[in-house]
Amino acid sequence: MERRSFLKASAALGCAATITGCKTSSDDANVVPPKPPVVEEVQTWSACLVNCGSNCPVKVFSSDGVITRVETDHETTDEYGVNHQIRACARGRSLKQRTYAPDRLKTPMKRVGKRGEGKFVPISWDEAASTIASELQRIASEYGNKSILKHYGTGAYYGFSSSACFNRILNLNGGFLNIYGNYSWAQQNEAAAATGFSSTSGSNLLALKDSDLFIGLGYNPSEMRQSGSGEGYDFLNALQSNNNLEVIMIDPRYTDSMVGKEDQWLAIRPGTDAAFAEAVAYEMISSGWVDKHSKAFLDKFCVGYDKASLEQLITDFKASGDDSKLQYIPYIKPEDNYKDYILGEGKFVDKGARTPQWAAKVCGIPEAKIKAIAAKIMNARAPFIVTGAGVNRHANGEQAMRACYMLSFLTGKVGQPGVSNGALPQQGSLSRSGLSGLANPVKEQISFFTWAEAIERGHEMTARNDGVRKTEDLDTPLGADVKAIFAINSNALINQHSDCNGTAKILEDDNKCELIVVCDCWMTPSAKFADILLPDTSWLESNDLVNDSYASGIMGYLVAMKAGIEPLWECKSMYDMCALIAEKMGKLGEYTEGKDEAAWLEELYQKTRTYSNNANAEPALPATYAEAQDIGVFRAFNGTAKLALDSYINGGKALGTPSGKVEIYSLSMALKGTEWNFNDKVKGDYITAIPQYQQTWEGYEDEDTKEDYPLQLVGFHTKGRTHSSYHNVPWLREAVEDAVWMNPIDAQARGLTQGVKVQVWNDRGTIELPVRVTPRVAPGVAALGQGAWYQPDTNRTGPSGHIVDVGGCINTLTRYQPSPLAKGNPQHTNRVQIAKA
Amino acid sequence: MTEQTQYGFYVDTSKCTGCKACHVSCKDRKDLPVGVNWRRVYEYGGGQWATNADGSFEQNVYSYYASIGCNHCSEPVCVKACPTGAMHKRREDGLVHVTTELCIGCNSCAKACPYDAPQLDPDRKVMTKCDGCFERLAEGKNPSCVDSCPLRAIDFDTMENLIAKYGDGDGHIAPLPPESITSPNLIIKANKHGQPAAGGQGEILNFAEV
Repeated sequence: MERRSFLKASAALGCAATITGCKTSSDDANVVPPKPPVVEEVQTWSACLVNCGSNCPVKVFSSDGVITRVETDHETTDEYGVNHQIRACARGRSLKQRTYAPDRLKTPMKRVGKRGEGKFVPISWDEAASTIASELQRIASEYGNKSILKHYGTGAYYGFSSSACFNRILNLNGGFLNIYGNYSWAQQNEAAAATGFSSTSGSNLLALKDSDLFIGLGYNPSEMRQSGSGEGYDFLNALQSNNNLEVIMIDPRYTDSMVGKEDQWLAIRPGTDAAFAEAVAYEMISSGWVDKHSKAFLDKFCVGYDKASLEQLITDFKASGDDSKLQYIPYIKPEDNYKDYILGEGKFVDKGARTPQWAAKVCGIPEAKIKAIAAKIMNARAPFIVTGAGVNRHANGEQAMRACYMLSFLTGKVGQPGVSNGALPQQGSLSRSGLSGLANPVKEQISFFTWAEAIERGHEMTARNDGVRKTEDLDTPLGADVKAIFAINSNALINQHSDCNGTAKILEDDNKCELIVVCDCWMTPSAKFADILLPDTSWLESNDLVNDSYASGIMGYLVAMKAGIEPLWECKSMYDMCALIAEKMGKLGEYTEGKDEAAWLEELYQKTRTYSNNANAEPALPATYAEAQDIGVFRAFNGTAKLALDSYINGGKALGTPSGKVEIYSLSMALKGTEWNFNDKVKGDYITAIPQYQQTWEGYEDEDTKEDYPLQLVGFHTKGRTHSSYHNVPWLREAVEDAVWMNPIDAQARGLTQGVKVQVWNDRGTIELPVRVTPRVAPGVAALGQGAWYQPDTNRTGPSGHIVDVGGCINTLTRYQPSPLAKGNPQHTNRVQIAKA
Repeated sequence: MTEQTQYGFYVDTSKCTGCKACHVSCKDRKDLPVGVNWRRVYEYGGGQWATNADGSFEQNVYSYYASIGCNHCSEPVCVKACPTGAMHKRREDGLVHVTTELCIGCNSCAKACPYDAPQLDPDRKVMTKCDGCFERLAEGKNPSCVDSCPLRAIDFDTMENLIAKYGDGDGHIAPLPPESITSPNLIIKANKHGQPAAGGQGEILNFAEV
């Protein structure tokens, strides 16, 4: 008990007590609580709930209310594909340090300085709840419910006490502005849907057993999906069990998905994947291979390959008499077909053929190697091609994805064993029931990425100009600026959004957005922009029911979480804190529906027990939630090889596109490309019906920025964080260095040696951090792990004329410019200069 | 347990992705401070780049990882270097341990060890190192690093059992030193890019992390 008292006492002495920002230097973050004297150890199950795609179970050991260590799943004999263990990665194993981090939010607080300065004073829960309830009411009545935004946030994938609790109070207040899309997959989701499938509908990795050629474009499961039952582990097993598989990886970095697993790495320049894909397509078409081998497939399953295909589509649509089809006829232009574009014929004669000679100059892969890859694809019995999400997070991300998807269809083999469609591999999952956020009376949606713009000009944003959805028509404006933001377990208020300096400027003006509520466990860069700060309990202090999440490998699982320790300091679960707010709103009954935490968990658990895909879970789900919590982890591995588009190609079930087929020529994109407004001053801001390599602002071929900013800067997912989660853990900062990667050729040209501190800048900002001189990145390309915490040194001005971000956040350098179709984040499209600090 | 028992590690460098779960789980077990790393993951790599006339690239780049704790060597140079007898090899299981009470923090063992296994605790001014998770072994468990590995790239057992399971391995690869120096109890499965233990053409790329 002494230890508990100490932790509670330290809360009073912590950052909340004084009018200063929380100190987050690594010096004081090194504190680890001393061992308690009592030895009797308790073990409970929790889970790591960040947005890496997996919710790995963790085994929490505590003694006298203090966590002593964190282990992981070790409950089975660990046979791959049968019962393999769901082992947490380095992040999950660091949870003790994260839970006791000195920058934990310990009490509710309110802002006292300028917004963003990080100056707060502690307030009571009663004051916090009253303020939020009355402000919600005021803002809804003054500006309408469309002015209230629930921000994008993925820091905690709870099932019960999740950010849906905030949806409940916002909906009980009359609703809030919806968002569509996300920072991970915005462009690829639109690109895949336009083509005819989901961007995660690829054949699963078990299907790789039947393949003889794997090509990964920006595909990096070993760094992205680190769980010990995650996609990275599936990938390793798939490769090691197929000796006949040739593995080719195409990426600007030599990633950890290679390191010996690859047969060949082809270094490619960021944002040029479409150029490479088009040159491969040129080889396949111009050689006559497509005519001979896959033309029948393209005619049957796709539209838009050639002129005849589109002429036929017009005929078919006319004959259908179906209004939903007839509306597209004006947008079908047979001369805009894919084959003519690739060969540089017909309408495209001035553009020239998309030859390997042309592409080599752009993408950096030599002409001979492009031809060799094309030959491999044509000769492969079962080519399995995957395009990763790195390709989508660009100014031209939608068309880059679609251009890469085309390669699979050109083979004519999609639907056959061992073949995929270019999308990310399907994963397995068990299902859990979660708390409902209740119905939202507001229908309008903005792109997740345009929220800060909506603070300034939401009143005039439209579908035609800004991709607003569910408004009356293309030109009816949204009609409200964003006046209140609820950022719940979200660091996208500043850190994970583009252009930190520009965003900070918008947020600092509290006459624009009048209320910012942040709920989190730690003093993140976003938390510093709060007006009201709500301290959430950490996972290790929570009872909850979670599943494997959304990209957790083929193994599906559930974790029945049980709090290992009491809530620290004055932290409350989201369910409890929102109940306080609901009470102040006079809506407690509607909020709780008469249930407490235990009753909700039991109800959600009982629903979960009825789901058919949980039927094979091992062990079987016991009768009560309390029993489930004692067992902790339930798993099931579905060992079936699943094929992309199987139900369409082999089952005859139409796709969701207007034509019901794979749309090489996308009808929805043809329509939007014609109807929407684009900005002529933004290079690459246009939509074509067929996939085309687009030169963009700050792309490799952008002459406007080439001279000042000769290096392309691309972000990646570092192993030491999940996005920005876990940044404040010293063990992880030590284990995985945050440094900007640079090729030795570029380093030598700048006189930079291993580890020296450099400044990286462009027109939007300056960051300062060490350089990692490494052959693992292409010349002319700098690479930086995304998610480091924005930390402006306001006393210094960098070469860009801005403060120096000594936190090294890549988004200090990224541009806010929504992509043409998805209105998504182009965070890998950047040009920078780098010099010794 | 007989006197001949000698524990050791097996590391499969074809599976390791450098994820650091071993490194961090080891730190969590003993609350090791930043700067004290009983297990380190070395990133080794090399290769040359050239740019063609059209701006395209030619390269032969490679890299791989090696996770190393202490190899509880059969000829532990750290023990020989220790002036007080604090560093010693246990007869019962071959693990090399430090008796903290005898350690004067002179750093001689750390200087002698070619694997950087002894790690000085700067606050307590005493040497610390991988202890083979002896208390876990007593409970019939593996060391933390082994059970943490998401790629199942590390194993631990008596050398007799490891050799029965994996054979002698592929011999050590860079950046490890030649085995002749200390007779380490470490079996390596070589990455296909593995460079020779002496005279590898690459270099350690992550000095800041080890």
